Amino acid sequence: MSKWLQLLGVDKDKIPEDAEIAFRFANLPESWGVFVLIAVVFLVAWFVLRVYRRENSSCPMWAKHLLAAFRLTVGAVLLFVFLEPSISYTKSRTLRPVLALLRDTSQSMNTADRYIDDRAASSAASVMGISVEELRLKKPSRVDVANRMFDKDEGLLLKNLAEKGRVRVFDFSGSVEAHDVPGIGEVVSEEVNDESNTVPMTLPAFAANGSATDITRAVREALSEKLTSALVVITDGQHNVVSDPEDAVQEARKRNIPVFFIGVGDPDRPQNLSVSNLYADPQVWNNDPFQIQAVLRAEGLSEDSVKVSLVELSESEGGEQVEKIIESKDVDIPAEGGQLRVDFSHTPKTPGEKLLTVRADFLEGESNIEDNEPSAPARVKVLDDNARVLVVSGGPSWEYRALVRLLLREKMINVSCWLQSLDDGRQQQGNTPINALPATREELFNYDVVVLLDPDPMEFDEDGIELLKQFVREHSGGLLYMPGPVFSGRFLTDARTAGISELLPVELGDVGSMEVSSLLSPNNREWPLAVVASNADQPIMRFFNDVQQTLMQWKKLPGTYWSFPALRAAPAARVLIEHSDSTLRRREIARPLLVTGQFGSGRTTYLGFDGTWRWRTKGLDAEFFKRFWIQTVRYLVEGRSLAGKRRGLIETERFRYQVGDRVRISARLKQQNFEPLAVEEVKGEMRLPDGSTSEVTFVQQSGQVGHYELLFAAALQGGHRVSVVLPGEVGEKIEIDSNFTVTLPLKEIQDAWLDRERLIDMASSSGGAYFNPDEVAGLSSALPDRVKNLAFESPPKPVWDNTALLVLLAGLLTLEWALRKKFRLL
Amino acid sequence: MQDNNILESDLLGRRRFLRFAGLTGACSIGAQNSLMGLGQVKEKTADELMTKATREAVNKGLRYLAGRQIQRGNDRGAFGASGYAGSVGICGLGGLAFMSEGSTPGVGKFGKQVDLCADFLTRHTGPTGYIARGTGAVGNMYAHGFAMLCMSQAYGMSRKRELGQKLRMAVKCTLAAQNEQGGWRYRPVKSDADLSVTVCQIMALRAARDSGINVPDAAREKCIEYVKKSQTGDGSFRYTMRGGHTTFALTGAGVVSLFSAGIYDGPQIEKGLKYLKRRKDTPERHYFYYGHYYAVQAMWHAGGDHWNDWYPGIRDKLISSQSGSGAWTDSSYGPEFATAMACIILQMPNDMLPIFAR
Repeated sequence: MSKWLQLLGVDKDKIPEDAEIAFRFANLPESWGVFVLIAVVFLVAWFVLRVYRRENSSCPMWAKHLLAAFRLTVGAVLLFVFLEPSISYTKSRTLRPVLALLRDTSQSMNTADRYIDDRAASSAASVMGISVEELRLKKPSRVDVANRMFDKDEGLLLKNLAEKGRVRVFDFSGSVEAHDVPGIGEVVSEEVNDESNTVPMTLPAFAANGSATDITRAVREALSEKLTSALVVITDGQHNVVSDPEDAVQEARKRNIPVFFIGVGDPDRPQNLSVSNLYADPQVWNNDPFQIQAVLRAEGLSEDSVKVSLVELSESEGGEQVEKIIESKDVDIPAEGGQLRVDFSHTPKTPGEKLLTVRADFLEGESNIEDNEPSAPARVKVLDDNARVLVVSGGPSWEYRALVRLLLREKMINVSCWLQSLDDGRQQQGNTPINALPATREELFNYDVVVLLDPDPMEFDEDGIELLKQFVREHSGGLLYMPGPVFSGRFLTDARTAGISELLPVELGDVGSMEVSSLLSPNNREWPLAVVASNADQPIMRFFNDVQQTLMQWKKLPGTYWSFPALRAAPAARVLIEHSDSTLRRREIARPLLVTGQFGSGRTTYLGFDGTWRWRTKGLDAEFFKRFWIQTVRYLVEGRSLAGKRRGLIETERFRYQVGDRVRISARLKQQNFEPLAVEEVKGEMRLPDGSTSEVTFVQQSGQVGHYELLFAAALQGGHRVSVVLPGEVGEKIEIDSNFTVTLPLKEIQDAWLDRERLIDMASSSGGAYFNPDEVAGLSSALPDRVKNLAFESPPKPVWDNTALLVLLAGLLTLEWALRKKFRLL
Repeated sequence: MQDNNILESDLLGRRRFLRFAGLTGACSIGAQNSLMGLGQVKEKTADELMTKATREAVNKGLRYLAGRQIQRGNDRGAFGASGYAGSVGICGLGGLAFMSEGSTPGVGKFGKQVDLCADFLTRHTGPTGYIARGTGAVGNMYAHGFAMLCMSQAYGMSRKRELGQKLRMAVKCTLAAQNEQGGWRYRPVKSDADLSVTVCQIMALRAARDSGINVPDAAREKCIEYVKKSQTGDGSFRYTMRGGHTTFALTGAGVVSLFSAGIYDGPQIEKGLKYLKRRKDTPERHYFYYGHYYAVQAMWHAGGDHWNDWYPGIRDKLISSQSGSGAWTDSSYGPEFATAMACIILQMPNDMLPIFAR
């Protein structure tokens, strides 16, 4: 066959191997044309024979017949060409629709159910291949059950599903990730005939680490695939974002795409009390009260109160764990159950690292007592530093008066004041009064923080500003600069003092002209403070542990009338509050009002408005004003207490993260001579809540010698400690560390039972069905069969246009010509 | 040596601080509530006390005052061209009322009005430091004291250097007029003394001293001694050392002076507060606003239940007596005086003025 094709000039490589080849005349007349053609053929044959029979007698009859035969053969060849002989091939194809497999990877899928519900228990036990008793003892997580469904019987379920279409996997939580799973994406395509190649044998197991569950989004993303025939969703049904998954299911129904749900978990609401989250600041101050917050979850309990205790854990000299109950309190349990927040206030009396946990007493009928205490205690480092603060003010502004009054009362702060306008003969205020503005390194470096409240440039010069720079850059001191309407214009333009702008975390631009325009602008309108929401969890800003509550409180605080016309935040600085007047925006950048930054090894803060004293009117006994300032001073002090006295500093952007967050950890490290460390990478250690450790690598930031960064994916709930060990003198090792806490997203743990009713309703309304895990063998038959076999025919390929035919024609005509010459014919 | 005055003025704050131990920034908001649950008195916040009606009344009152303020000419900044309305005392009280709202010279809703007040008082501070406009009853040491108090509050928030210079002169004038007993009388010379004028000077001197202006300890101690000697056995305060009547207004002024001196509990305070509560509904008719101006300060500093109980009463009384124009009326000293006083009283929970800070 292939030889014939080759002879006819057909490239056999262009014809698929499995194709069926057919020959036909493309120009064959139809209907009466056939008769015309036959008539013409016979007429031409009769005419040729007649003409040759009448040739000269010199030509014998046999020669005449031979010549006529040649001529008729040529005519036959031309007739063959006229009919346009062609070949074509036919190929059959199998069209396979997409079968979307959606897997819930939210953290509620990590729930280890107790399986109170017998039906759910027998179903899960069947899948796991164990007895119900063993199931209730081992408590496999929902992820375990889901993975086992696809793992057992050598992936039979997936094989069966693949018969109904091309399986595409969507792992979803708050977001959706479509998987190109090796072994599925490669062999399953729309144009593959061999069924044996389309079946992926195994499906990679999945993990549950998402912080939310958005079934709506997952369904919509799956529907966006071409040729989707059905959706199979494995979930516990605890959709916890604002959208309604029923809407997405109805969209599927309109497109005739049924949704099948496989529900995993226990539908029985548990009777239990658990301490789901525990939080305390990783760094607190000795002799200073701090808050420990525990989140309890109560479900189905008949008791109306429970005793909850704050417990300090420590090790005895013999290495045994010692527990000390610090405080206990009775907490009311709401009849309908739900989430409870229990706050403890504790004042540490000794510095060092403390382990604190919160424990709820075991209640009658409680199904699980292991979760009456969080899996890991809160790790708190108690600092023992007294902060020395120098407050300098050009005049007795209300800001100065309110701030000094506050700092004088704060036990952990030793304040010295320098009121520049103070009359001769008056003693400066302060726990440690001073007689002159510090002018030497020895004097200034006694302090941890310098607060400049609209200072008068009169008492400053270049040396003083340089000293301040050294204080922040080298001594790791904290600096707060608060411009004011009285002196700042001069302070920031005077050649002797303008150098302070290098220290600030803002760019000031042309201060002179801005100051003039600022003077001309009216200051009689109150502008609300525009808090940058993403930075509301910054230690300065935090009023409550809940960020939303903090943001709400900021909205309630009085706004600002006057602000300094700073242009923008300096690179790498963090804007915490912006001006809400859009007309003050420059190149779409709002005027910064509160900005934190870094200068050398010290922290800086810019407070570009004059009205925090107005916040005194809010809360009990000016609590928000006080909290803001104490937190600000501490933020500035911490830069020094953590870095200045040691060889470096490790910082996280926040103290608390959620499972699934990416934790950005920065480190500023110094050599033994306190010059910035200049190596590409620094190895460190991460201690995880379960006590295990892993090596981590800090990578130097490009162009920033001594500045390193590490990105870490928070996966485990509890306290984390990251540390770096640097070589000290004579074999000494200097350890630099930082702590942060990882908590579970509350919405993923507060409603964690299997919402079977909801899944049944949604499956039914979409035209699909609900399956228990042990019923999935029947899933394949329930899926719509939308695999189609199609035949494709290629366009005809002419086979007359080839050399053989041309040679044949030429040969026949040449022979005829030669015979005619031989017999002397014309 | 430690600054005694600052220490003493701070003692009051320290006491409150200890009372609400842990309520500062170091302690969480949640912990505050738990402390409150341990038997401590939870003082009502400004938002709880200053109802919508209160804020509307204050706003109307301040707008009335702003409307009464003269905007141009020689009397620019005063609240009238003559009489009490045009005096530096009413101007000082008006400035305090605006500043109690949170406005400061040139800044805030009533920033312009505060600026005008400060300018007027600066212009009328004479070469001796005596702040007066005209003579007689409207230009006495009362007016000087209220004017000086206003100037000392505005000082530090104003760009105008002259304000500080004139304030220092006014302080010297007051110190020069202190008599041997430690008190003051109506004229800016050493003579007799009465408690009412003396407390007015004490408040102004303390405000000036808090601003960093030199006020000798001796002068302060003498005037506090004068106040202590003025208290009678039932806790009330008498008009002069020679005797005379005791009144609600004088007792309020006396208790405020004791607080200012760092005496924040003990029988002197308790008796004084009890006396004020007894007379709460029967203050002297002619000194209603003056008496409540001091009484509300006394209760504010006493805090706790004293404050929780007192403020709503005077608040409701003042709101109900406000006229449609926003003014309060006083047959003796005029509506500008009464309105300024009422606005100061009603805005006490705002905790804006440094002189009232606890």
